[in-house]
Amino acid sequence: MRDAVALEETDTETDGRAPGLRVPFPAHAAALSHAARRRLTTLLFAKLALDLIFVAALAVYTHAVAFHPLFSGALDHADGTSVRGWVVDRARPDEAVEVQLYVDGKFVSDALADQPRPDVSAKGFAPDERHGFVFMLDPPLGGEHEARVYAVHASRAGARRTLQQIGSPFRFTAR
Amino acid sequence: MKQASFNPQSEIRIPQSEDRTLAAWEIASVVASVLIGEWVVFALAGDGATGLLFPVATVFVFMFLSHRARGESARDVGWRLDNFGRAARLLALPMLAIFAVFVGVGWYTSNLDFLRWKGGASIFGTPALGLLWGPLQQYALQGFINRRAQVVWGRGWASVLLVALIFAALHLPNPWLTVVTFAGGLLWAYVYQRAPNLLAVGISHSLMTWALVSSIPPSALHNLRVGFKYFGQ
Repeated sequence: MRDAVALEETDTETDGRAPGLRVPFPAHAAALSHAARRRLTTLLFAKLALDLIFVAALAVYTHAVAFHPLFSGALDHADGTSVRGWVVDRARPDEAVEVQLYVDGKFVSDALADQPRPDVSAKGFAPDERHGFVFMLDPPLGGEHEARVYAVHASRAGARRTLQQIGSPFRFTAR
Repeated sequence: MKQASFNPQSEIRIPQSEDRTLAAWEIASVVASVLIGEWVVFALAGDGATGLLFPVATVFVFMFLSHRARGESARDVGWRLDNFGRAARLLALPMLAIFAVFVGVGWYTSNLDFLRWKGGASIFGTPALGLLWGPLQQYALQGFINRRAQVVWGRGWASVLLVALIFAALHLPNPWLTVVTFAGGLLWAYVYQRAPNLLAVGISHSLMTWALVSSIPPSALHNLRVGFKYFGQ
């Protein structure tokens, strides 16, 4: 003869409004054996470790790819009419780098650092001298400002562009 | 060693507190994998599906091994047909009501288009994707999270609410999706607890998604984007 309780312990039959015994927990959520508990604990720790390793590896890989560490350059001068400097991508020293100018935290302009800078090649940063940038400010600025220039690095086939500051911010007062 | 505790009136074994803690950690682990996929992979690796392979693979292997460790069969989890009719009957009326609301909104705002799917492609061109996606999500949500939530809190409003809250939270920060998935999560979790059938709730999920996409313009739904991808173009 079938046990009446066992019959009612199935998931589909434990309906609050349906006739029969109400089961507060799923029929198969009974207490775990010691071995099962150990297996689950091991499983949880293994998955936690794998998740952590995956996230850490992804972060390190992304940082290496997106934040190109091989830019050299400087923001040499800024005044009310122009901002000047140079930048070289040491991984590709024969290519001109795209740069962006921000004044007081706001985007002003972008350009290619392909202006002649004989001193850059003379110091051995690049085989040619076309690595300078000059941003002409029109209209000229007056008062106190801060200029920042960023090198643009494209990764993931151009889908992601990251900005890396060239040199230090340059504070200037224009009359 | 401790013995399983017993309900003296019905002699039904109740999970011990360690089992409940383990179940809670299992839920957290699955949710963590989804969050890694939605927020970390998309933020760091971009739109490519390759980066999703790891969290998706680990979460499915984890759920499979957890079922085995707990001695749950595919039938226990809800891959069965014997209670399909009962689950479908429980779902029918709320689904009709929600479908009517969606169609009404779509008709009133002149946005009704049953061939719209992912911004132009017909749903009939991708029936496999549409019908597979619902049951897969519902398997993780009901077949795993709901079952573990019942281990923690038993059947009833607490575990149903937890499932709905988790489902809604995984659709953040998309405001409309968060709201509708909370409502859908309540319905599906409630129905699953009464008739655990993943095919029924999965097909219901796919049909409701189709009705939603057909009635509300993709721009309002932000192309169904969730997680970090929500902030993209």
